[in-house]
Order: sequence, then structure tokens, then C-alpha cells
Amino acid sequence: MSEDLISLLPELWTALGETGVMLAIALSAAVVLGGPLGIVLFLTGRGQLWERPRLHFVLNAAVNLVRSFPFVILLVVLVPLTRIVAGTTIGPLAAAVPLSAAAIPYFARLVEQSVRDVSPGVIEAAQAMGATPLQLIVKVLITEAAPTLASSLTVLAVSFISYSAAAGIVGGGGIGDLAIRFGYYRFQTDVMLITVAILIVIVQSVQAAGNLLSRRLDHR
Amino acid sequence: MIALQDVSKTFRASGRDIVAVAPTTLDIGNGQSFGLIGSSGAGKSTLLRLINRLEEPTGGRVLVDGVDITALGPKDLRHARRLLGMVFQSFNLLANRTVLENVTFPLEIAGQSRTAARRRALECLDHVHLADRADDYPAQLSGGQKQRVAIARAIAPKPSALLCDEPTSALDPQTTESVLDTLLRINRDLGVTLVTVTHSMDVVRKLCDAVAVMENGHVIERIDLRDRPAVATSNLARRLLESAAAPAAPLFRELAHV
Ligand SMILES: Nc1ncnc2c1ncn2[C@@H]1O[C@H](COP(=O)(O)OP(=O)(O)OP(=O)(O)O)[C@@H](O)[C@H]1O
Ligand SMILES: [Mg+2]
Repeated sequence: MSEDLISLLPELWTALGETGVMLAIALSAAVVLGGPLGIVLFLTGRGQLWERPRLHFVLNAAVNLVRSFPFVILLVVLVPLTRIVAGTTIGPLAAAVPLSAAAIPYFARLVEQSVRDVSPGVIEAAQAMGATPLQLIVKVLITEAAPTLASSLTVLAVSFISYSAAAGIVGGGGIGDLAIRFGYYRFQTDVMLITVAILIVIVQSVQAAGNLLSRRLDHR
Repeated sequence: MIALQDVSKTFRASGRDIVAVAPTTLDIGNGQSFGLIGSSGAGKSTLLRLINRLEEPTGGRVLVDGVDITALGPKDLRHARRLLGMVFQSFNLLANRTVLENVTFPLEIAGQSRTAARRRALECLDHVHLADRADDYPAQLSGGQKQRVAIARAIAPKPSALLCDEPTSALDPQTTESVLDTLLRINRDLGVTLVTVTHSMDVVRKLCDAVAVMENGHVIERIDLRDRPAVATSNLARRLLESAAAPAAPLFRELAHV
């Protein structure tokens, strides 16, 4: 290992931490806000429990709108919002804002598709047993879709590891930022390779953990 | 105990009205095992689903134990539904819950404590002879066993009636027997009223003490099968009775010639 790399270790740890923060915030926002949004998207759809064509149309259009922005453009467009929410436009907290904005509708769509696979007969059986809407959502929709939801969350996490690297370019910090600063601008190819290797290991681990979780939850 | 008074259902599909159930009046007595037969599309399932208001009636009233189901708000309707268990052709068990957890489900949502729900669920599983499979998942069971779990789930809240929509149509003759035995015991031993939609004359003969024949949304005839000899006036019903005397012939084969 070269001198460069050893002297880089502290920076590497910081960068890993920053990536962790960005991902944690974006994924939490996706689950907390995107999850319910996905459920509402499903329930307001045609023939569903809370069928509301106009509300469904509006939510659907909003989700599509945000999702159609290329992420880099979203980063720039959301700078004013980022300044309001995070108080700054640089650093991992600031980068978490556009990341969350992209993750929320993405996960909402994944959740909608997951719960759509729940058998209508099972939903109907729960209704016939007198389940409240909340019980139906928690004990039927989410429980029955749990394995698919776990896979969806894995897909989201993997995509956003890569997105967070992009957010690094515009001052978000993190692994991606490190790769650019040292590997690209300072021509330290070994640093770039190391960061890419680290990203590969992270992605592989996340995917493996997600698959394991999904399999554990699946009793079909 | 279940009284349908001029209850009807019209679906509006792609601009035109489909009268699934014409205004129908029907009384089903306490503890009775009542069959509902008729050709495909006659409105049997719709009529059954009007009883627990899975379908909103277009007109008329449904009384269950004197309570007008059609007049209840959402909360009261949920409570009333606990008195009406439902059994489906496709079982509709929760795949990611164990057999025991499936049976505790209706008790959980009714707010029973875990231990009370568990005790009651095991009792019901015992009743359908599946207590030893409590910790398995539905995917590990055969079709007949799945249906028996569904029946245990349906009787767990101690309903006064079970609504069964073709409970044996997805099963082979042998497992059909075991499911019918289970339903019969629930009717005889527990006094639970049964309303069973079926295409099979064999099911009617084994299970029902009265049967209504539906055609095009109308109940065209009601036959008391305990009368010997049972009297039928309509062509359709006469064929049914004939086939009831003969070895088991699935009703739809008979109906194909009507
Ligand atoms: N949700 C719905 N929307 C529109 N039409 C419907 C709906 N449900 C049922 N129908 C129509 O109502 C009529 C009666 O249907 P129903 O399912 O009650 O018949 P069935 O006697 O149970 O038939 P089967 O023996 O095939 O199950 C049919 O013409 C059917 O197409
Ligand atoms: Mg039917």
C-alpha cells in the first residue's frame, strides 16, 4: 500500500461516515414518507378501498414528475430548498435533501407495486372479518408484501449508494467526493480504485443482506 | 335469523346496468344449513356478499339477528361482520402468518389479548383436526387442510353464521368430503347457521337442509330438503332433485343442459 493511501485513511473514514449519513437520512425519509405515500397511491387506485380518482391522479402525477428529473438536475433545482431545510448547500446534510426528494417518490412507487401483488381475496377476507383500514394496512398489506418490500428497500439502497456518490460531486462529501477529489483531480488512480472497491463491497453486502431478509420474510 | 327483504344489487359496468340480484326476499332460520345453487352468473355470490355487505345493496334490507346490516355505519358494520364468518373458494389465508396466527387474526383485530386469542385459536384448530399444524405456514398444507384452517379462522370469533362461497370447488372429491364433514359438524355441534353457495349437488345433498335456486338474479325456487319427497316445481329444481337421487353428479353438468 502506498504512502498516499495510509495518509488517506482518516479521510476515508470521514467519507464513509458522510456516505452513511446521506444514505441513512434519504432511506429513512423514503420509508417514513414514501412508504405511506405508496400505500395511499395503492388504496386510492381504481377498485381499491379508498378509491379517489382525482387524488390518485394528482399523487401519481407528482410521483412521476419528481422521478422524471435526472438526479443531477434535481440536485441543482433543489438548491434553494436545500438552503432552507439544511441551512447550507454543502456537506452530507445538505446533500441528504435532494437525495431524500428523489428517494421518497421512488420508494412510494416500489411500495405501491409491492402491495398491488397482495391477493385481493386476502384483503376481502380481512374486510369480511371486520378489519379497520389501519389493521388492513399493517396486518394484511404490509405483512403480506413484506418480502417484496424488503427487496424494494434493497433496490432503493443500492441505487442511492450510487446517487450519493453523485451528490458528492456537488459538495456533499462522502466516498464519491473522495474518489473525485483525489482520484480524478489529483490523478491518484489508486485512491479512485480503492474507493470503487469499497463501493463494490458495500453494494454487494447490502444486496446480500436484502436478499437474506426477503427470504426470511417469505413464507409463500 | 338472516332475513333478506327485497334486497337487490345492480352493477354499473361500462355504461350499462347489470342486475346481479333482483329484489329478493328470503328467510334463513337459526341453525339452518342453507344452500344456494344456480348456473354461473345467476347472482349467487353477489347475494351471499350482500349478507355481510361486501356488496352494498342497491335496494332493500338485510337483517341479521334482527339488526339491519344495511343501516349500520362503518364501525358498527365491522362489529356486525364478526357475527358472520366467511369461507372462500380460494381459502384466502395470510401466506406470511402461521396457521395459528391466521386463526388468531380475527380475534386480534377484535382486540382480544394474545393469550386469549391463542387459546381460542387452538380450540378452533382442534375442532378442524389441525392443532398439530399450528406452527406451519399455509404453503405447507394441502388444499383441504387450508380450507379447514380457513374454517377454523371463520369460527374463531364465535359467529352465528358462516357464509361459504363454493368452499369445495377448488378441492378433489376426497378432500371435499373432509371439508364438508367439518362444516357439517360446525352446523350440528355448534349450531352455526350455514349459507353455502355451490355448483355441486353432492354438496347440497350432504350439507344442506334447504336450498334456493337462482336464475338470472332471481330466486326461482326454494326447496326444503327435509321434506320427503321433496317437491320441485321449476324445471331446474326438478333436475336437481333427480340428480340428488342419482349418484353424485356435479350440478354444472346438469345445468349445461337446462
Ligand atoms: N363487481 C362487479 N361488477 C360488475 N358486474 C359484476 C360484478 N360482480 C358480479 N357481476 C355480475 O353480476 C352477475 C352475477 O355475478 P355472481 O358472481 O353473483 O354470479 P354467480 O352466480 O356467483 O356465478 P358463478 O357460479 O360463476 O360464481 C354476473 O353477470 C356478473 O358478471
Ligand atoms: Mg360465484
